[in-house]
Amino acid sequence: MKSFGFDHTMCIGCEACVVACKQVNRAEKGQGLRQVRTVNDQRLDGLPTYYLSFSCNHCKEPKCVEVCPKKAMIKREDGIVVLDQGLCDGCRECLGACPYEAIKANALVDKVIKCNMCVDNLDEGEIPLCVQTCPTGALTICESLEGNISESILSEIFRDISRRKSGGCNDETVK
Amino acid sequence: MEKNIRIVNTVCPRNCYSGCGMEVHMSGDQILKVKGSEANKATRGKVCLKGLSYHQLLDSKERLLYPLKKVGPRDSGQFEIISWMQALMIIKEKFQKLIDDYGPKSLMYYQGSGNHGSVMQEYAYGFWYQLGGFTTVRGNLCDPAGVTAIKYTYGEMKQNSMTSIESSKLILLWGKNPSFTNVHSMYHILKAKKSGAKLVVIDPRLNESSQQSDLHLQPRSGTDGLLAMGIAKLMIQNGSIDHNFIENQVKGFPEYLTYLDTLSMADICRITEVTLDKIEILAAYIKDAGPFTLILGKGLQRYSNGGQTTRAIIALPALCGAIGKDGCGLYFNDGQRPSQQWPYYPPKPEGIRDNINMGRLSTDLGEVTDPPIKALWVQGGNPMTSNPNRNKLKDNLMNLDFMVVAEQFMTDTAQLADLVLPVAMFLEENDLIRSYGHSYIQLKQKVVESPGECLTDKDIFHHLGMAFGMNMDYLPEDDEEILKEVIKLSGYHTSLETLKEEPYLFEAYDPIAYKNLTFETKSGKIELLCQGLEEDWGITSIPTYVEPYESKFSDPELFEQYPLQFMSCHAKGKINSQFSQTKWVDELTEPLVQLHKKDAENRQIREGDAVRIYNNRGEIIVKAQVGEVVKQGNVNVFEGEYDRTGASVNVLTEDRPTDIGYGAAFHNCLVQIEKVLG
Repeated sequence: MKSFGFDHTMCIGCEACVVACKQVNRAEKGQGLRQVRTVNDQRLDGLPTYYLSFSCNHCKEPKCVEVCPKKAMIKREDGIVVLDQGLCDGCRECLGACPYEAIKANALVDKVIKCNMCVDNLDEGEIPLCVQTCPTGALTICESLEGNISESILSEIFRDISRRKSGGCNDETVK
Repeated sequence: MEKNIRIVNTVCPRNCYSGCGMEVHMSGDQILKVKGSEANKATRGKVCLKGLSYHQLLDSKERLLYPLKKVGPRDSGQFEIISWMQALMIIKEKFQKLIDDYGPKSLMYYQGSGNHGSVMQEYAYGFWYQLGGFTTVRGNLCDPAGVTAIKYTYGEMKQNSMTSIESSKLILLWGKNPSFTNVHSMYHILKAKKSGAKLVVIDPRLNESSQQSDLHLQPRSGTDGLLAMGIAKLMIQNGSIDHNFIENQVKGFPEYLTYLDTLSMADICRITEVTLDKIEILAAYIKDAGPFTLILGKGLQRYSNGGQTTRAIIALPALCGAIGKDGCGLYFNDGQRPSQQWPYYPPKPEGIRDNINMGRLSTDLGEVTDPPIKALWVQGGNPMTSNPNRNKLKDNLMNLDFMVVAEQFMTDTAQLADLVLPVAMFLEENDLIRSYGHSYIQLKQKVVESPGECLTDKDIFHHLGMAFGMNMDYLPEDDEEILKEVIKLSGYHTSLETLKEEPYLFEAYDPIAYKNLTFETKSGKIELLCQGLEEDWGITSIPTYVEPYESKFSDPELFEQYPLQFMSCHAKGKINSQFSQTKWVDELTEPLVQLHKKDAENRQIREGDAVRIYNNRGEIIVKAQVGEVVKQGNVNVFEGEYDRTGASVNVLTEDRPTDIGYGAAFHNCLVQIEKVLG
């Protein structure tokens, strides 16, 4: 099963992946399909900053596929969740259902947009530009990940934070 | 997939370590994609967020497409479109009159670093030399203090390959934030870290490259040299120095030791504001690891003591024999590549004045006499944003008789020009580019025609020379013919055709710098004691600590009024003020001031508040980010913002030169902050 792989110990928050994605999708303002989320931007309590590059997680059990009334969201056999723009009628049910805010309302037409892992190129053997351009190799295409990437990374980051700071972490440090 | 895709190799020509090899994917004259080229082994097919946004810059609605003439006073901001012929005639008439009245030195040519590593820009001198003279600048805004210190100490400026970092056991990132300024090196640094290397970051900021660090030292601004002396003292104490290496390869160790003995660790800790236990941990790391990798940034040498600071820091690898081997050494710039030779200079005239420091332009423009500066030509630069003390600069620009700015966008400098000439951009011109983070020579290829009436800087000077009746025929019209000559004269064993496919790495390139332990200094050794520096620049011949200007110790009265040390670090989404028009990048960043939570608390400033930052040179208004990114007593605003954002940092900085090399001591800068009410 294909998904994005991500190593937060290698991510430097440079956001090359974010702009690579915008270039491919010619994203309008606020319509980027990939974002870097920063944990503890302000370096509070002497703790490090953590960066999390995320787009659609291509979830194991995608909520967007579940709620789409038009069956426009499709989980392919290889695990990639794609959106059939032709079927989408812009009802935005999926926007509310996605726990990661990975789906955006399309500014140009009354439909939604999401990361489809640049599937047309991927099928021809070219990995997505966000992965290609990642300078440290933090972002990868992963064939065998269990569960959802954002969740596993977040839980790893929180484990790391509690290791460094007894008494756990306070929600205010997550931005 | 689109049919008939043509892939053109080129190189990003910005003033940046990386100098990324790039691929442009074209269909007809449409740019489909801009991405990294794997042919450059130093940049490995990776490009930063800025490079990935290029075609948005190319297509920007804000681009200047036609020559513009100022309407009304210099700061009116009003222009009308004129023809190139009109523009050239105006320049000719103005220049001729000023030459008649004041001589050619009253004309100043200012070339910024906007088109970096370019050989084609040399063409401009075909015009200026034939004019019979002009005024130019010396030094630059970036790193001359550091470069000069390294050249005097080590003879040459070179570094190991980036891959060599991976073999390190200990890495010192000193005043450097590669996550923003050189993303490619972070790959090697983090790989070393994964293999068990220790990472130490020394920076008043907990910068964006420090999240994996084992130790962070936050010296008071401008005291890095003294901190290095403290580290040296502890290294000597704990036996981490290599006596054999010092004996054979270092000149002046006994003299330096005598000086170090005059400094007490208590004073060092008090002045640098770094606690002894932290310096001891670092010294213990060095003892464990042995020879270490030192990656030196540039901010620390932008102080009035920048040369001496660099000297003290680069003494450390010499003391423990960390030179000439894999997995250690000094990284600053890679100067191994042979320089580019320009074959087409006309004879150089006598009347060239070059004693104005680029970093002191703001003051010198108004103070120079015999003759005074009457006209200014700015190319590839935006001094109103990038040079220190911009309010003073503005006053002096307002007094000029005539000002021409060749630009792509209506920058804060172009706003003040009498004439603005629209210039071609990356992807619209041919050139040969060198970089300073690696030793590859790369071909910049024209892939699209310029829009509107944009011309390359080279073509502008060609037409101008013709308008002046100069002989401009000695230069071939065809860019390829020119570049072939450059390749031949520079002694590059490659061809233009090969360069179209891959960059050139010269044959003698050595991934281990100083491998033979030969140093091109007077003594043939690494010179901790260097008489040349005393003779040429008037600083002590051994590294000594001099308190920087504008600090709590050197100017206590000023410090009482302005008790915060102002930093203006490089931003993630900009190369100085370039890339200000890329929306993809722009929406990711906003101007803000980073201040420590205690400094904020003392001023009733909370996260997100608008604050006024001011000193006796000016003020800016910006949003506060409160936390612990910066050391208490320091504040940071990322540089490069246009005036329109209200956060143009150089309103606050002073145009003081560095101790050596004619650099700019931007960071000797004290400020106060208050919350904006209402």
